[in-house]
Amino acid sequence: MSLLRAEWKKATGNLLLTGFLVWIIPVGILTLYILGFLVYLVTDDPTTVGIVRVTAERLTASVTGVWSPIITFPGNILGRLLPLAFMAVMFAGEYQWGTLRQIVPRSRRSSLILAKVATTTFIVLLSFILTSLIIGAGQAAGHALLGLDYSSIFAGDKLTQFAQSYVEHLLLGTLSLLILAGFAAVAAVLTRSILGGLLASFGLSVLEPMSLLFLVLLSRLLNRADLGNLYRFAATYHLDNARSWFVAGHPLAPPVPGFTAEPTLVISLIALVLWIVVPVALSIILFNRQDITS
Amino acid sequence: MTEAIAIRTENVSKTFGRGEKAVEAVKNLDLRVESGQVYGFLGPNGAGKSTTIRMIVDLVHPTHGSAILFGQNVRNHREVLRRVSAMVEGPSFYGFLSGRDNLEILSRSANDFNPSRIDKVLDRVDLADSGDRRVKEYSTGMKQRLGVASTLLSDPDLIVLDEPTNGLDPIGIREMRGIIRRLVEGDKKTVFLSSHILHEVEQVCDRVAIINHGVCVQEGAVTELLGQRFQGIRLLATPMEAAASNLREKWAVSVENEWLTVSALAEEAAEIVRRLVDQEIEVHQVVAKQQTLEELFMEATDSGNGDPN
Repeated sequence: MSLLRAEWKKATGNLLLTGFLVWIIPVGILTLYILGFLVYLVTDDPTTVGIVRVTAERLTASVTGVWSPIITFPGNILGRLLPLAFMAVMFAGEYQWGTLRQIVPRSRRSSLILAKVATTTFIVLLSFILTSLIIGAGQAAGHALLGLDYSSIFAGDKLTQFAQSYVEHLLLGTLSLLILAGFAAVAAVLTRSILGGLLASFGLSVLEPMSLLFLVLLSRLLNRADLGNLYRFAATYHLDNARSWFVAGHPLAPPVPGFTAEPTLVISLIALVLWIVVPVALSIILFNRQDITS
Repeated sequence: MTEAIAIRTENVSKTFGRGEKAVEAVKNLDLRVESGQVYGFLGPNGAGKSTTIRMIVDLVHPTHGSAILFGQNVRNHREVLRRVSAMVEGPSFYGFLSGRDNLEILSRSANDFNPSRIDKVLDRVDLADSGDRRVKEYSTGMKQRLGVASTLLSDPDLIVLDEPTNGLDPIGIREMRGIIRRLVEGDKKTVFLSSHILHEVEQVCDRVAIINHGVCVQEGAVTELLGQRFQGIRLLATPMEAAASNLREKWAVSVENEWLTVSALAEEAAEIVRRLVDQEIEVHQVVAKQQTLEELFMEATDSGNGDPN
């Protein structure tokens, strides 16, 4: 816990880093809402009522949609870069700032990696949750401003369905962020520099979902349709598949012709856990064997 | 609980790289640092000082041999590092945080957070008024002092200071010397000190080791190392030519900047003075010429005897 608080202080104390890469998302959304309200107050456009009025389904989609950039293909190719940049700097910065030589003699190396994984994930998670809250609160404020009834949209079991959907997306978002933290950790340990860490983790993060395109190309070049099946090992596929199970109750439709895998929700969740454990364990092994010379 | 030997390295070696590019930074180094001393660790750039220090605090893993702190191998008993604090190759902090926040992070990393202790160590290094300023606004001297403060956070038994006077002005250097001596004499700590400022090392250290090309080429108590290198008697006398002429009858004499250096033993000083006074030569000053640590260092590191190849 003490190490987690140390990591929290490092992250939140770096206002430039967290400001531009983490808090920019909720602050940006809040700014958009405020601007929207100001525009409405100035123009008093009656069509605004149609835009603002939401149903439980629309609200659920917009609030859970906050997680889409980090859990669904192809949005995740770019959507993951901002949180990943924050994580990469948090990991690799220790090498570049020379602070590892102060920290490492004071704590176990494995604990350092785990604390960083937990803290960076938690901070990004917090910003996504905050963004969801801002969207929910923004919708409520819009209804209040226009004199529309907000509470009635959650009549019956709609609120339970909303909460369940949100928790499912929160779970997938957390898994996705933990995977990114693993990428950032491995990249930092291997490159030992902020720039190297950023480039290597971006490379991992982009190549992983893009493997679908490479596999399609390769299967066409080699005239082997079964190569597309290898995409079933990708983290992005399992995030999409798990989301499909949560939202629609069935596995994801084959992403490419000839794709035969139909993993269950549990299989996909296990695969995602492996995508977290393997990079984190690899980074711990490498870090434990590493000479800290910076 | 303070064991007699704070640091022991047993045949410790470190090779970086492999094959033709392999560099042997430290070769079969044996060190013994007794508790309650200021131990100077000297050597030219690239001699292997920092690598040795990094092996002592488990930042770098030895290729052979082991670093033992208070009787425990650092690699197998990392918990012994709780008794050690180190500032390796100068202070390194999070510039975007205040000095106080940096110390908090370090103490939390060691699971030993105590706000009053942070206040105390900031006060100890005269940073109590600047503790809430961001470190990137600190001068070099302030960063060095914060580095020393960081080593005092956990009230360690052994403090490893790598070049603690780098970038300090003469006043800062004197303050640092005072801090180090107080740590040993007042707080009964052991200080392992690496420095390039040999005059300072000579004044503050009880014992020194000189390392060159990864090998220890000199080791011993400062007084012994310098004392055994008595280099004659220096004197100021007028008329100088007459004095030189008289003394040359018995000893070899050289003249430099009006000072005569007589290749005589310390116990012959009285005879020298008597001879000159008998000849009505005025003797103004007589001093024993001893080798300085700087001269010893140059001799030890220039001779090439550090390189077994």
